[in-house]
Amino acid sequence: MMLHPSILALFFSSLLISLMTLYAACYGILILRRWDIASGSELQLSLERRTYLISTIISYFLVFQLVSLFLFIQTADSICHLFVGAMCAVGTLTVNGFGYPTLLLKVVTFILAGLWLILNHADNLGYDYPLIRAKYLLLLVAAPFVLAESVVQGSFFLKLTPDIITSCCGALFSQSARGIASEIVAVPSNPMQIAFYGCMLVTFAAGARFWLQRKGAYLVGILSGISFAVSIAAIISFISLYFYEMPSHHCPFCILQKEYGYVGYPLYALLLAGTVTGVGVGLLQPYRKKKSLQEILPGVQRKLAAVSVLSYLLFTVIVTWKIVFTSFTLEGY
Amino acid sequence: MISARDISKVFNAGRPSEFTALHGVSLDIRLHETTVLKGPSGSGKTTLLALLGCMSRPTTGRIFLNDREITSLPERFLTEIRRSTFGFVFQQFNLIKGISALENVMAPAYPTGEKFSLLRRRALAALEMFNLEKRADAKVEWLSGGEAQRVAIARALINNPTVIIADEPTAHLDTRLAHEFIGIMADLKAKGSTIILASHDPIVYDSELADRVVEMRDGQVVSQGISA
Repeated sequence: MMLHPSILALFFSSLLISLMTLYAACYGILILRRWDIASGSELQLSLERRTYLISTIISYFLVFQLVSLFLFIQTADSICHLFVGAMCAVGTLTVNGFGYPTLLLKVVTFILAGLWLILNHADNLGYDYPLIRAKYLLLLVAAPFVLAESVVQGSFFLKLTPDIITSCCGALFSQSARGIASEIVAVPSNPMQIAFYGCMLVTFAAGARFWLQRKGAYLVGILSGISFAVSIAAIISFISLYFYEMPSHHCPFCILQKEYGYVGYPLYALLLAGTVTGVGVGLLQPYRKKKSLQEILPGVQRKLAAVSVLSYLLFTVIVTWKIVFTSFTLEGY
Repeated sequence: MISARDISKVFNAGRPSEFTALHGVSLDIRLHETTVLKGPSGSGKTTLLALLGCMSRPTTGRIFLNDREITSLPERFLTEIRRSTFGFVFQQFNLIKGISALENVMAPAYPTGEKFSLLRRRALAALEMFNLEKRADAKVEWLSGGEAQRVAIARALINNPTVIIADEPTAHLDTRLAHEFIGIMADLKAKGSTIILASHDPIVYDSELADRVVEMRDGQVVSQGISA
């Protein structure tokens, strides 16, 4: 294991988040089994007191979980020079078999943590813990992913050795490579551009419709999820090419580097913000008729829809600006 | 109506120093009346007052304020109820030393975000009600016992509470000041306030102010009835 400050920070914070999530999940099982707001029993009153404390602590931990995705990518990018053949985060992530699984788990836990924070925020707005079961159920779903991420990330860091020859992004994100990335790379850019802009248009329309008419919350949630997947594919397929101004360089990580103005960070942050808030709109929809939330929840959903649409809009504007104003062209690819 | 249902309060639960201050107390307190909790030291009066005033939570049982259950409320909701419904007068007055009487009176209203000039005017009016307008800028450590108590009452009234809670309010007062306190409370009651007092002072529970006297002993209500 390398004693790099960021690696140590990620390693120990992940350990702490896992322990806290495990404790909260165990407590969540008790909540799911024994919660009865009508009861004045000692157990019920004890649960009411403790849930406030646990929710507050876990929400701070999960906020760090959100940040840790970017710290992980930044760390992988910043230590790539230590590995022979690595040019960016891709090289670091392929040093051993735990790099990409860690990244994937980090993305999954980012989305789950974001959704949990939305549920927790909505629950805190009600006077009678209206979403308590839902939020602890979601925490129970998230807990295995958080624990798995800690184990996989720990294995990744522990097995990082600088004498390994690794692959650069040019080799991994090319048509000759194997895997889903190469299949995305192989897709012609025009159909992918149509898919990307079409998906964004439909997502904006659904978000705007919800914002104006409060209709179609589930549609906003589903489209936000689909837009995330399509956008990632679009970044690999054609967006990255415009930033690099090279027809064969499809790496989704190099845009995080200084040479490209660190544009990858705002792009990915906007994408994830749009996804989490958009899915959050749909997630809250089943609870809009809860007595203590029926006045408040539509406003919360409206704000989430606005954030989602604005995030995706900004993402699209940055990407389109680059495509329009660069001298690079993809004619024929 | 403030209703307590089967309230128990255990301190230091599970430790060798575990102490049960209240055992299954059930009680109804009518609004616009004065209820006096009477009993010796250690009978649970202060604990019950703290629970009724939303300053602490019971170990078991529920409390209802106008049929709304309040013990399960998350802290931020409870804070709002505490601020808008209850005014507290503490046994030791608990005035903040180092700041003036006026600032002490204004302090509980700061979180409401009320315009400072309006709040200051209201605080001065509250002090004026107790003939303390000339002492407004005096630091609280310079006040006499009677003045400090009246400042504490003015502070309790600053958020226009519907219920005034006072814990052993006459414990540190001589007879004249104790009667003066009873007079102030009678005026507030006449204006529609609900008053809940904890006291083992006969000046309080034998006064005409008391509509109901609840007698407590060993953490239980032993009798409750209309005051003679």
